[in-house]
Order: sequence, then structure tokens, then C-alpha cells
Amino acid sequence: MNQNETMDREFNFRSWFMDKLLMGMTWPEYLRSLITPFNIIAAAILVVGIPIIATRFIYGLASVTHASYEYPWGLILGWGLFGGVPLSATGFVMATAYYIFGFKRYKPLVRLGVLTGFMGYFFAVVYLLVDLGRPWRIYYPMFVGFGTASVLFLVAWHVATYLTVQFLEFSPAILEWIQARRVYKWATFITIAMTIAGIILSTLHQSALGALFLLAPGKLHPLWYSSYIPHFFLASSIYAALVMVIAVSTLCARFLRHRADRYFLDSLDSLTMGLGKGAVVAMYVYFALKWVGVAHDNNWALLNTPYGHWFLVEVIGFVLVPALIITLGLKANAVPLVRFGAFYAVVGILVNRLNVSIVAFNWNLPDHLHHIIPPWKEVMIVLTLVTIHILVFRWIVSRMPVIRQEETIHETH
Amino acid sequence: MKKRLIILLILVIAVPILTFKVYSEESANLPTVRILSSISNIYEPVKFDHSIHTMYAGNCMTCHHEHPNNANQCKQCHNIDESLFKKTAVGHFIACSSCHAEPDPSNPAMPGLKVAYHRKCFQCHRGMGKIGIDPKGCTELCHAKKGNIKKASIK
Amino acid sequence: MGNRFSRRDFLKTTALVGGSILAGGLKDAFAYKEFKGWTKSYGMLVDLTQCVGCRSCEKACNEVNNLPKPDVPFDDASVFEIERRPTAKAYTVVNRYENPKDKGKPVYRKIQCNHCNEPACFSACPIHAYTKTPEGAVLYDPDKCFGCRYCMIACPFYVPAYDYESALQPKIVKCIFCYPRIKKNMLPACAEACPTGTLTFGKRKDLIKLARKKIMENPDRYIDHIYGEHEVGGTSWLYISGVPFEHLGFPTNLPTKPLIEQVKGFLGAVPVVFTVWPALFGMCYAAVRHRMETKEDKKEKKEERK
Repeated sequence: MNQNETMDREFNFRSWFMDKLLMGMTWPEYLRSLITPFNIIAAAILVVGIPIIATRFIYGLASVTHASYEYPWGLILGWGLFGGVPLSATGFVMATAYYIFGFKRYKPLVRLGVLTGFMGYFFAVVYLLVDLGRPWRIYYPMFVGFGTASVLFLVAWHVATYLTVQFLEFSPAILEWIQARRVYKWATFITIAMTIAGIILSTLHQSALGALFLLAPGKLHPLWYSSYIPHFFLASSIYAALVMVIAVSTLCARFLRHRADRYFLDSLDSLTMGLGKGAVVAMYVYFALKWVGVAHDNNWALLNTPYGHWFLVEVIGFVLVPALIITLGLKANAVPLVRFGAFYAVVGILVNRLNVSIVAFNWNLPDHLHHIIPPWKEVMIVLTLVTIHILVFRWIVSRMPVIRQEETIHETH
Repeated sequence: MKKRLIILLILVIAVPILTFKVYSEESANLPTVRILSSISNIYEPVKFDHSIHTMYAGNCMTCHHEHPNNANQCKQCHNIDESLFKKTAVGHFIACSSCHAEPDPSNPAMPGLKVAYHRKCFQCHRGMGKIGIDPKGCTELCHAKKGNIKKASIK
Repeated sequence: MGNRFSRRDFLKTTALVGGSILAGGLKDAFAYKEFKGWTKSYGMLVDLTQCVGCRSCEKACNEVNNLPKPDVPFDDASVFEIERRPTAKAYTVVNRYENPKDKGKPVYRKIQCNHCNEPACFSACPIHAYTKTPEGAVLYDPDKCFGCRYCMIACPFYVPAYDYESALQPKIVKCIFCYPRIKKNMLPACAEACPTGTLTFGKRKDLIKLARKKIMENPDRYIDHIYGEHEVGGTSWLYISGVPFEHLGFPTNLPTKPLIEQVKGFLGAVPVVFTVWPALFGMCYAAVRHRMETKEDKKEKKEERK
């Protein structure tokens, strides 16, 4: 190998690095571009939060959480796992709509949906790793002991396989980015199989997250404990996916506009209306299903109790009202109203999942509402992980062809 | 006030009479002071004075099993050697430990010796001093902790 | 029942097949396969009317299981001022409750793992870290546990504790029914220590008979309920009391079926989804594709005609 060749390669690598990772900028330019108000706030959060996460791993969970025997799951899982997973149904819903049901119009949003889903699951696992007592044993349900009667066993397997599936689903974007043509062809070839696998795994583990609580009939408030809880979780995850795609695409179009292509930006409004239509139908179905649940267990009398009032706030204030807002937006052809309703509905999903996993759980213990207030360090951990989540997401969308199409390869698709 | 006086009077007269009656019948094998020392590694042995206890209880049946005289022979129901009874006070009663031994999981209805003793004690002693209210109550009245012999007197 | 007792089922099946071949009879092999729980398991009858709160059981448990020193010494009655629960340092604790019948005689209640017949913790664990032994003890293996704490969510009695303090080896802590002692035909330490006869150790089915007899013979002393006979499918530990159980901190809103029954419907749907979904959605895909191809064909034909 002569010197020329080595230099050539070095140069190639450098230009590749600058092109792919620094988005065509030089180091000083890139670093300067990082100084934005958002990044400064994010950095401040990380400076406080990362040491707290380190504390958790050095001194144990007791140093950052309530370390309660009655409340083994707190905000970390309530937010990260139970809140995060339904909002990550985007991948499976968008891929199913596009690849299986042939909604070809939604192409510009498919990758965004898959990436949102993949990142959501990835971070759900990160939250889990922070919360697990011995996270280095995370693979134990796959290799050490098989608790086949356990719903959590199901969740563990499905989240793990689905994470792989989503990675494969998203891999065409990565491969286009690094321009690996051969592997790319293979990756697109398995898309249909992966999508169907995704449907199986998603329906099962979305509902399984609800089914986890079936084992605790004495602890979860009867208005939330229902034999229908797996159905509630699955039904709400479907509309969660649709409103989440609206929310994420809105944010991308607003804050990552320069990374999007015309194709994405021009079609966004009409696609948002389409997603809104789907979401609103799913929301009314879910709303009705919730009342079937109340009727099934004949829990009407409980509605006029403090927890009953809170239940009404959740079901009416955070499901029906956003659904009506979106309906109104659709009727008036007002995209911003649909978007507002979508953000509202995303919050509604979080409210529901936090209600099941935290607010209505152990409702009958003395001083319950006092116990569920998380310590500030736990909140800080959640905030830190949310920040990292956003940063990684932005990093990927900025570089890989997610909301834009790579000119060179997509012709073959 | 009057009631109390009457009760007291009855006690003052009746107890010695009853005691005398029992004693006179049992003159042959008078139950005496027993030293209960099976857990003397932890506690000082308990001195159990039959005479005081029969005085308060007024009879033996409060603590010992007894069947009516027309009951069948012991052996029809129990696995007990009848000769044991003959050695005892009135010929009806035997030492608790003759039957109550270590607890046997295969026969849970039969209390072990420790439980048999305590159940009988607690019939009256629960509520006296701090017994049954404070773990220290046990050491107060009966079980002096080893090397710390300071028995409180009963009120 | 799924695979819950798979190893036993396997052994049983092997034995059955072997046995039937040897004996030449297939009667057992044709019998309905049903697991009715370990019939010879041990249990503990707790007669709450007897307990005087001496905490000997706590002390014995602490010594036998080499647990850390208690926060409050075992002969200090001040512990009763707050309601306690089993912790990462104590398998069992005794609490005091006011006696509505007689203020001078408070009621004491010992709490520990109830060793359910079909434990929710066992059903919850994704790694099979729990075992229900034929003797009745529900055991936990820290070498398998990854610390998800779903067993704590599932336990209807709030029993498992977790040592959150440990960063490297956190584990679930709970009563083991003195399994090593039971194996050696000894009594569990608490039962051996109990001076009052509150704790009676024996075969569970004998204890139920004994409890019934006690309640029948002393209807004034006991309320007519054996807690643990039917709660969540039955527990190895059984309680009889003179005071309604809800006054003594017992959960009284539990189903009589084992908690796994609540989940079986869902688990049963899993294989259905796995087999039906690919067919269903595969067909959808094929149908959509077919429609598009025919559309394209028509277009081409039109173009050809032109």
C-alpha cells in the first residue's frame, strides 16, 4: 500500500465523516451550530440528570426513588414503559397501513412512524434498565428461566423481538444513509414479513401491558381494573399511534424543517387530516369501550366517588374532548385544530397510563395520594431520559433520510 | 361497695375451706412446688406452686383435663398408661408432660408442652401486669431473664 | 394451567406411560388431567385469639434466618405504636390492633408470606425465580431474579420486600416457611418459638379441620371464617380470629380463585394471535396487491388499445 492510497482513504473517510455525521460542516462550524437555546437547556438538564442516573447505579435504587415495598413501580416505569410504549405504536400502525392495507399516500410518514416507534421502544428499554434491580440480567427471560405463565415474560420477549423487528424495518433508512445497496435490497425484501411480525407482537404486548395488572385485582381501583383492560390498552394504543404521528410530524415540520423535503412538507396537511380521521374513529370506539367496561362490572355507583370523578376527567376530559376537537377540526378543515387535538390526545394517553400504573394502583392504602408523589431525583431521571430521547431522535432525523427521500436509492424501490 | 365486701368475705371464708377440702383429700400425693426449667438456658426456671394455684382456682380442672366419673376407660380414647393416675393426688390427674410433649405436626390438634402450659397460665394471667400487652410482661411475672432475677410482685 | 407445573406434569406423564405399560392398564392415562394443588402440603394455623404480642416468633425468625438486627429490640412494646410490615430485614412482624370486644385485650396479628397454593408472585415472575414446593413453601431464588419487582405488584398481601439499598445484589426478601427446617422434620422457627399456641404447624388439610372444630366448639370466641382457606385459591397459612379480618389489616376484597385465573383468558389468546394474524394480514396484503396489479393491467390494456 503506497502512501498516496492511504492519504486518499483518509481523505475519503474525512469527507464521509463530515458529510454524514457533521451534516457537511467542518468541526468548528458544527460546534457553533450547536449553540441554540434548546441545546443549552438540554445541556443543563443533562448536567444535573446524568450524575443522578449514575447515583442510581452506584448507590442503588433507594438513593433516587421512594424505595417503597407497596409501590415497587414508580414514575420511571409509569412514564417510560406504560406511557412510552402506546405512543410508540406508530411504527406498527403506519407500517400496517402502508404495507398491508395499501395506504400508499402515507409514504412520507411511514419512516417517521417507524423511527418514532423504534426510538420509543428503545427508550422504554432504557427506562427499564434504569429501574431493574439487576439490569445486566435483562436477557434472563430469554435464556435463564422461562416464566411462561407470566404476562411480563410475554412483554419481555415481545419487546425484545419487536425492537429487533423495528430496527430491521428502519434499517433501509440507515442503509440508504451509508449507501449500502446490496444489504438494502435484502432489507426491503423482508419488509412485509417484518410488518406482519410487528402486528402480531404489537397487538400482543400493547394489550399485555394492560394484562399485567390483571394479576392485581385487589390493588387496582375497580373503575380501572377490568377484564377488558388488555382491550383498552390495545384500542387506545392504535389511536395513540395516529395522534403521535401527527404530533411528531408537526414538531419535525416546525423544528427540523430544513431536513424535510417538499414531498413531506407539501403533503403533510392533507395527511394530517387523514390521520385525524382515523384517530377520531378509534377514539370514539375506545370511549365507548370504556363505558362497556363500566357497565360490564356494574361500577356505575363508583362514578360518584372521588376516584369516580377522576375517572370521568380521564375518560371525558382526556378522550372525548380531544376527539371532539379533532372532529371539529376535520369538519372546519382546520389543520391546526386537528394538530391541537392530537397533542391533547397524546397527553390523554399519558394520563390514562399513569392512572392505571400509579394513581389508581393501591388506591385503598392509607395516604395513597401522598405516596405517589415522586421524589425530585426520580423526576429528574425521567426528564434526563426524555431529553436524551429527543436529542437522539433529532440526531437521526437530521442525518438519515426520514422526512426526506434519498435521491440515489429510492428509484429502485 | 357492699357487693365488693360480700365477695371479699366469701373469698376469705371460702378459699381456706375449699383449700382445706382439697388438701385433705389429696393428703397422700399432695401436688407441691414444681420447677419448670426446660428453657433454663434463656430464663430462670419458673417455680410453680400448686398450692397457691389450687387455692385461687378452687379446683384442679381449671388446668388439668378431667372426665366425668362415668367416662369410659382412658385407653379407649387415649394412648395413656392408666397406672400413671394412681400415683397422683386424687387419682384423676396426671402431669401435663405425660401427654403433652414436643409438638407433632402429624397431630396438630394436640398442643405441645410449652403451649399447653402457657394456655393454662394465660387463662388468668393475661392482662395481669403487662402480660399480653408488652413483651416485657413475660419477664416481669414468670420468666426472669437469666442473670437478672428481679421479679415484680403481682398486684 | 399451561406450563406452570410442566416439570411435574412431564414426570407424571412419563410415570403414567411407563406405569400403564407395565401394569397393562390405561385407566389413569385416560383420566382427566387436572392439577389440584399439592395435597400433602404443610400449613400453619394462626389463632389470632391466642396471640399476646410477645414477638418470640419475630425473634426466632430473625435468629434462624440470620437476619440483621431489628430496628427496635424484640422486647420493646413501642414497636406496636405504628403498623409495620415485613421488610428487607424482617420476614415477619407482629402488629397490634384495638379489640372492639375488649379494649384491655388488644389483638395481635403476625404478618409474613402466606405461601399461596397458586402464588401470584410465581405467576408474575418472568424468569421462574419462584417455586411452590410440594411441602407448601413458596421459595425465591435470587440467582435468577433481575429485579423487575412484578411479584411485589402481584402479591395480594403486600408481602415481598426488596432491598433497594443494594446497588449490586438487590433481591426480594420474604418468609421461606423455614423450608430447610421443614425438610428436616423440624417446625418452622416461629411455630417452635410461639408459647401461646397461636401458631400450629401441620398438614394444611388437618389444620382446616382443626380450625373448623375450634370455630364450631367456640362460636362466641371466633368469627365463622377461616382466612386463607379460599382467599386467592387458598394459602398455606390460615387464620382464625375473634375480630372481623378487615379490622386487622387483612385484604378482604380478594377473589376466591387463584389470581392466575384472571390472566388465563389473555394468555389463551396468545397462540390464537400468533396463528391467525399472519394468515389474516397476509391475506389483506395479497388482496391489496392483487387489486393494484389488476388496476395496472387495465391501464396497460387501455394504453395498448390506444
